[in-house]
Amino acid sequence: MSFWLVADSHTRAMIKSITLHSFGLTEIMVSFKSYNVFMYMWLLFVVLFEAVFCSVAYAVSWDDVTLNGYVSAEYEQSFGTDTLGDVNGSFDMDLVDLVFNFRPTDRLRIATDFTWEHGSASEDGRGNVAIEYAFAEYAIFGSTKVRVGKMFTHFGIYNEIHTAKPATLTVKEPLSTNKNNKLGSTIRFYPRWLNGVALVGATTGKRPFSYIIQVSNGDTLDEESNPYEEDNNSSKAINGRLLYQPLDGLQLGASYYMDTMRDSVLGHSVDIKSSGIQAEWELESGFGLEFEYVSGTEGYQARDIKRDAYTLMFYQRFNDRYTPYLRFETLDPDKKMEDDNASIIIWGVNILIDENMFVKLEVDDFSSGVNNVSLGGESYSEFKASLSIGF
Amino acid sequence: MFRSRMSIFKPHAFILALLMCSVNGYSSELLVNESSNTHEISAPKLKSILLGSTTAWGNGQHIALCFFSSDKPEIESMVRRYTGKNLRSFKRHWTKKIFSGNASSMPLFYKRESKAMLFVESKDGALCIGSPKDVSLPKSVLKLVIQ
Repeated sequence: MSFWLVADSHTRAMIKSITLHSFGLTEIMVSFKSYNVFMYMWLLFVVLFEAVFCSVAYAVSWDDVTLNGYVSAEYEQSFGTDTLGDVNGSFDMDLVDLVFNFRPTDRLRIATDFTWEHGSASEDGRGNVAIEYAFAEYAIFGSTKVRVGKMFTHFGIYNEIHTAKPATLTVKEPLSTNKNNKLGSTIRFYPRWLNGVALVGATTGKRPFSYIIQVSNGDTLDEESNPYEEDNNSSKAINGRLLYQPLDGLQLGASYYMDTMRDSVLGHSVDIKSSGIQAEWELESGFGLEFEYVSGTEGYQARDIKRDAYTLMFYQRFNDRYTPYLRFETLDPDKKMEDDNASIIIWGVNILIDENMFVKLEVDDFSSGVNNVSLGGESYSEFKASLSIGF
Repeated sequence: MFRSRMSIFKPHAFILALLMCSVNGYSSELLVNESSNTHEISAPKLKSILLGSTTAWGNGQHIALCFFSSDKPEIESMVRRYTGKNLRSFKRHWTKKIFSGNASSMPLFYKRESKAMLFVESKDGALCIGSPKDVSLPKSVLKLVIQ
C-alpha cells in the first residue's frame, strides 16, 4: 500500500498492465501444461507479484488522502500557593497531533487522529500516546452519514477540540464544563471518547441545523476494562447534540448524555445523566461570546448527586490579529453540599503570529469553597503561555 | 485544450451570472469541475457547502473547496455574504471541523490563480471561488450560477 501511495501515475499504470499481462500468460501457459522450470519460475513470480502488488487495488491514492495536524507547547507557573498548580514553573511539550483522512470512495471516509502528548517516551513511561478518534463514515443519503468506531463524545462546545489548541482562543478548555473531575467532581459529565455507532446529518435551509446521535459502550469506572474493546455492562450509552443557527454568526445547541458505568472490580454501578445548552455568537465587529451550561446527576445506590456548571467567555477581535478574552467558569460538584463550589476567572490575549500560528498569554485565577475536593478552599493564580500551530 | 467561455456556457446563464455579481456588489465567481454535473446553486446550498454541512454534489461527487486568494476583498465579501462570518471566523470554523473529525479537508487558499485553476480543472468535484483574470476557462471547468 505504501508503495502504491508513493508511486506516480505512470508507474501505477505500468504495474496494472504487467499484472494483467501476467494473468493472461499464466492462463495460456497452464493450458499448455508445459511443466518446465521457466513456467514454475514464472508462476512463482506471478504469485509473488500478486501477493505484493494486487492488494494495491484497494489502496487510496494520495489525491484522496489529506493530512492535517497541530503542535502545541506551553509554559505554566502558579503563584499565591505552595501546593496547587505548577509551583515550579514548567515548559510542557503539550502535544503533536496528526489527523489523517482517507477517502476511498465519494461516500466513504476513514478519519483518524494520532496524538503524542508531553514528550512521549514509552521506554521511560513518560507522556501519552493515543488515538483520539478512528472511525469510518459512510454517506447513506444526502448529508446523512453513519459512523462506526472510536469518536469524541459530541457534547457542548469544547470536547471535540479539547486538544486542538489552534482552534481555541484560550490555553485550555473550560475545566468546569469539560474536565470537571479536576475541579471537584468525582466523575466527568461525559467521557472524552466513545466507541460505537453514530448517525450525523444536517439540513441546508436558510436557518440550518445539524445533529448527531451516538450509541456506544460508554465508559467504565475501573481501569481493568477497555470500553473501546469490550463493554463491562449491558447498558449502552446514548447521547446526542442538536445545533441550530437562527442568525448568521449565532449558533445555539443542546446536548444530552446518559450511561450506566460499572466498576468490574468493586461490582457497583453509577448512572450518569447530563444535559447541556450552548451558545456561540460573533458579531461582524469581531465581538463574540461563548456560553455553556451543563447539569446532571451521578446516581449511586445511596443517593443521587446533582451537579451543574457553566462557562461564559467574551472576546473582541482587533485587526484579526489580537483577540483579548475574559472567561468565567463555575462548578457546583454537589448541589446539596455547602461551600464546595470552584470558580476560575481567566483573562488573556490570543495573538495571531502567522497563518494558523498563535501565541496565547493568560492568567487563571482559581477560587474555591472549603469543601471543594480538588482545591480545598484555596485561592491561587496561574500564568499560562502557549504557542500553537495548526497545519 | 481550452475553449472560449462563450462556447462553453449558455449566453443567458452567463448574463444572469454577471447580473448576480453586479447586484451583489462583488466580482467573485464560482467555478466548478464538470464532474459535479451542477450548473446552478441556491444561496442556502452554497452556505451549506461553504460551512461544510453539505459535502457532496447531487450526483454524490465529493466537494473539494478552494479559494483563489485569501486576501482579496472579493473573497472576504463572498464569505461574509453567504456564511455571515468574516474570513478569520470562517477559517476558525474549518479548523474546528477538521480537528474534531467532522470534515475531511479544509478549503484550500491559493495565492496563484494558475494553481487554483489547475486544481478546479483536475480535481473531481472541485468548487473554487475567486476572480479569474484569465477569461478563457479550461474545458472541464464550468461557471456556477447562484439562483
